[in-house]
Amino acid sequence: MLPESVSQRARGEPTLLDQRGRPVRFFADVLARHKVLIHTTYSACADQCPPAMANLLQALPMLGPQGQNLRIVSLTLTPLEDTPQQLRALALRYQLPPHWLLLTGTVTAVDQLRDRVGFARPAPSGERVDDLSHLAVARLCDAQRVRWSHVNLLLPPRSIARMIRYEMA
Amino acid sequence: MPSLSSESDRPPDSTQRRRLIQTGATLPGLVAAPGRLRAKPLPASPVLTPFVQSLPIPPILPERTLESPGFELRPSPEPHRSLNPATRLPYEGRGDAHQGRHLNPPQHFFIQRFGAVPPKSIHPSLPMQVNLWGANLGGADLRADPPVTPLPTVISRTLAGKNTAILIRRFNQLPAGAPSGGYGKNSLSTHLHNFHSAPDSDGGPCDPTLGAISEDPLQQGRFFFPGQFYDYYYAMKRAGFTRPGLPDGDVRESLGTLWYHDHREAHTAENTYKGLAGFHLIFNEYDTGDETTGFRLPSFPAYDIPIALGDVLIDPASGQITLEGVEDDGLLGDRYTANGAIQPFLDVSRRRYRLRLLNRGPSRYMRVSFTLPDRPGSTVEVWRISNDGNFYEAPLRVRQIPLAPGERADVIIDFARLTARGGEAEGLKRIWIENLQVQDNPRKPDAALHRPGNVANSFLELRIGEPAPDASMDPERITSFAPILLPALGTPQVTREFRWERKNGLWACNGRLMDCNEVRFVMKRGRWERWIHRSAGGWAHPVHLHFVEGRIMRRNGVVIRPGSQEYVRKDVVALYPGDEVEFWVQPTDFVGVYPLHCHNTLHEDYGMMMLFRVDDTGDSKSAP
Repeated sequence: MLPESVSQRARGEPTLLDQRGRPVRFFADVLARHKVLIHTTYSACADQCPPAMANLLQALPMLGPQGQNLRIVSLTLTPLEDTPQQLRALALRYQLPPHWLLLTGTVTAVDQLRDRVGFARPAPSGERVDDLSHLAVARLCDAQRVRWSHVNLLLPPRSIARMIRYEMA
Repeated sequence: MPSLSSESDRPPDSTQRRRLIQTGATLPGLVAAPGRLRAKPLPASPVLTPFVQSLPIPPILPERTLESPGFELRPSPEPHRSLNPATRLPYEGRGDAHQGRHLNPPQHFFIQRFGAVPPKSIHPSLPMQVNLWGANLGGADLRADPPVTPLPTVISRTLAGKNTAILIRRFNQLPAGAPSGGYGKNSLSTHLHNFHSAPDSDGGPCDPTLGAISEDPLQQGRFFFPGQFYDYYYAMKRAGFTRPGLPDGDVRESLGTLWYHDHREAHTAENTYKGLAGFHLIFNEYDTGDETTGFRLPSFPAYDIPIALGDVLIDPASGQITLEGVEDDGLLGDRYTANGAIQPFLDVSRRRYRLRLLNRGPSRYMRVSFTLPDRPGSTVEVWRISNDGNFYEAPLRVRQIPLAPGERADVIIDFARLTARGGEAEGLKRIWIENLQVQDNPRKPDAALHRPGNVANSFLELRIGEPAPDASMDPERITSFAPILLPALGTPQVTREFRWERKNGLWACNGRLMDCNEVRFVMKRGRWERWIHRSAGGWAHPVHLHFVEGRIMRRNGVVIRPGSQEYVRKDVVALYPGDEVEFWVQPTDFVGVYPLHCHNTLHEDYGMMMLFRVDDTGDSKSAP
């Protein structure tokens, strides 16, 4: 059972699609069962995303026992362009392992998940704020807490791995 | 917030704040930075009547014998790294031997056990707080000797010609699993802020030079996990004590008001906010704690009061201190605390007191004044005797004390003189310790100041009672704190520049982020360095370095001269937006790895920290 603060965010959560076109509910299907590292990206991103993805990919084998039960979720910032097929191409380009989920969906669904995880926020004026500056920051979440820590994906892979291990310990 | 505008004399209550929020009005407090809007406004904390409880005074940590439960494994220079079958972790979290311990073996022993604080009141109108962490007085049974916050005050002494070294064994008995309240990390590293510690006992975040164990999250050498302990050894010697012919160190390097707090990498803000901070006071031959000897400063503990100033957010639904919704740019609470209680009072006698003020953080810049609520707009003059625990050459008369996160200020206030005929508070019965600094977002303090006498900006009400005997020295007659004068400056051999800035949604220095695998620069023992700190992007950063104190030589080109509150040894350099501050430092005695970081601990946790090393070679990296 999800704790109250997490279940509140899960209530009425949107369904997204992974790179294989399968429906995925982030809280109910992923976070309820796994620890999750979630970050945002988009397939046309040229500067920060490629090194962030590559660093994280290289860090995975260094996670040791702390990496067990950790799932990686990459959430697109441009769902109109990033269809599941596009994300599948991205996964192939990086040769991502199969349990690494790349998520897209309707603009509303993607926005809602970003709000719920804390990557985007409603501003006082009512508009939504897309915080592109957070491309390099991954969030660590689990069924107890959303956003219980962060990992900087622009560090070298060994440093990313160390930080995840420290956080998962 | 204590106030939403510099003109306001009335505390904005939650109704006012909500109304502004509902109308969508743009308030400074709701906008974190251009292009970076704050989240949905945090709900205002409940309205609370101020000054209805007395100031909590943290208990003093008692000394223990080596026969006490907890010392079954005798403290040793080498850490106890054998595996504890109960936890399958080493008994001790420490990764390396105590440096220099053979010179001054520990003489005084203490134990602390970190754990969840039993339900605790911080204001009579709020429910008991159930999410706080603290430490106890060392007893083996947490039910009989429960953890408290603020942490117990540690008292130690530095005395020339005597070995007064201490050892504190800290046990981690925090609850396993997810922390209550949704914040806090139950692996710990306890930093003694501004002590001249070797890296093994500094309480730093990590140390890649510890080798393979530093790669293992459960044996990384600086954290101690639930079920583990960590022996912190403090030589209690002044800096310079390893130089030939100077076994007690340089008297001018005396330290006084220190504080200790958690320094767990990436979780320092939440752990200190959750309660893991306390005072560590060091007395010596001159600052004796007895007003009939030495400098004759008001006696501890009767008239020498440590006061940690802070601010908190209270969840209006649960009544609990919360971090929910706080972003990584900083935390500005809307209720002020003193020693963890919301706006308490302190009964004082009509005589002199020494008040040791600490800005506990995590993010708010303060401008502390002693104000007269019965004469709104008025402040009184006090004597400031130290900065960051270090004496000025002589007491300074001040009306405002800038206090950035992590900074300390010891003041002498004479309630007899202030309330006497012709005194600034003649006939009055109360004085507030108040923050005049306008600051509505974590980005920076404003240039404007609040008008004195706003109850919402007050930390503490001092209630002046009857006269009491006073053998302390009138600060007006203290013309010098000799021999604790400023040490001579050397000639810097290296210049380094540090640009503190925001980057990629995180916090950086010289464009780079904290990396536990990397030592960014190396200081040579005994060599003076000149550091140029710059604050970029319109943010304020209180920069703190471990182990090495320094001197602020220039601020924005202006030489810091006698009479300035910054003409003193410093461990925190408060940077305001656009500042350029020149700081000179010289490491002595110990070698090893230490951190340099922003003490807005949210910034620190999100990358604004780097590791440096001290050795006998050094490097000359100009922008590490």
